[in-house]
Amino acid sequence: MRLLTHNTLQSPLTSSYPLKITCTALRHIPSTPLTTDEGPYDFVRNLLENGKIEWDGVTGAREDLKDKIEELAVGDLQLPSSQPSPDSPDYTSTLKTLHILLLEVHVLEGTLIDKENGRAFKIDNGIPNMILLEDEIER
Amino acid sequence: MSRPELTGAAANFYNDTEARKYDTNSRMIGIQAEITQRALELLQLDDSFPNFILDVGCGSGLSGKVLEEAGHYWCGLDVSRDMLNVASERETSTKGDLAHHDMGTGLPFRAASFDGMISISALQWLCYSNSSKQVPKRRLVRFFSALYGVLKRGARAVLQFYPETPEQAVLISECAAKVGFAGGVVVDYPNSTKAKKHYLVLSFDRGYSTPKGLQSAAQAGVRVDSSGSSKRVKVVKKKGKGKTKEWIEHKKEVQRKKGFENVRKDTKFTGRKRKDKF
Repeated sequence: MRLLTHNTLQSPLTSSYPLKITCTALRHIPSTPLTTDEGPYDFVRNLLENGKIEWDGVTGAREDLKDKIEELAVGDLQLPSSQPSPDSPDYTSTLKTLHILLLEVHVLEGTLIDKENGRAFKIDNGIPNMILLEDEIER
Repeated sequence: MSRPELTGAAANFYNDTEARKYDTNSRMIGIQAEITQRALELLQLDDSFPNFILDVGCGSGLSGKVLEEAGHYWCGLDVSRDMLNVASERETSTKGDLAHHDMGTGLPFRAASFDGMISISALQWLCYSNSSKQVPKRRLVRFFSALYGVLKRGARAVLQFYPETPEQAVLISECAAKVGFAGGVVVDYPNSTKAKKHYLVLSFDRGYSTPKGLQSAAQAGVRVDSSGSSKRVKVVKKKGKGKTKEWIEHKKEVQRKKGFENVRKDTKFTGRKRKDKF
């Protein structure tokens, strides 16, 4: 599961957002073609500038995965605490960090936790299981 | 051909062996790719930047592959874990992501997350109930209202499906209209049993009129607009006049000429209708 998916996922039960991640296996899969300092980051830029990235979701996920990201050795992937504007000086480097964080970092094993009721959704082999149990489905 | 929908839940039908068969069958690959191409065409995306597409019923990722080739990022949902396992083995997938979910229970996404949505050969599964707790209509409405939420304004959704009966197509489009979608069903090649494909094209734009279906000859289609009034262009089978008195007398005459001996005599009762109460 990419963090981009995590950024759009909300709890199917309570609509709680963002879901907390606990992770036991994280992997960095570089995108092809390899991204350089200049990009192309048009996808991330477009998402960001159209307000489709929930900044708290990204920083929250970054915080949840802090230890594991350090093990990946792809840099510390630090992000500003609030969403940067396109004319801020290090905008391109922020886009790069965002690109790696959202699209190249994959959560392979772990759980997504609904912060409201504690329901855990298991991530197995990179696929989050969002299936609801029979008695959880509202009539 | 029997319908897999009648054999039980999708998650059970697409087990490991079936999923692998599906993914390696060259006919299936060709058909799925072709349908996805057409769905993308109907989606009319803004191609100036990569879009984020939701693929409901992504299966083994055959449709996702086409999306990637077109330069889009996608997120796929499927109810069959075995299909998803096959999809996750696909190494070329650099732009897709997967989640295990049942579309009949809604969609677990934030509002306005996606630039478009496609669904290839999946929607008809919602028309069948596999337990007493599954009500097809309720599942359809829940799915469509969730879809209405997760698409960004101005986005479109294209859902290719195989209706078992025309009533199913109407039920599906009515449920979509009920939650506020405009659009309708586009039927490609309506006169061919094999090439015939139904695409439900949905839009937020009230004035949206669905594109014409591809066709080889004449066209028949199903259209539903947002007002809920559904009009079906039904192909009425031309009825013959039946067996009239003239027809019977002519037939008897021919048989007599051929030399048959047991031909009944012409009487005042010939070709007369029986009384209703008989």
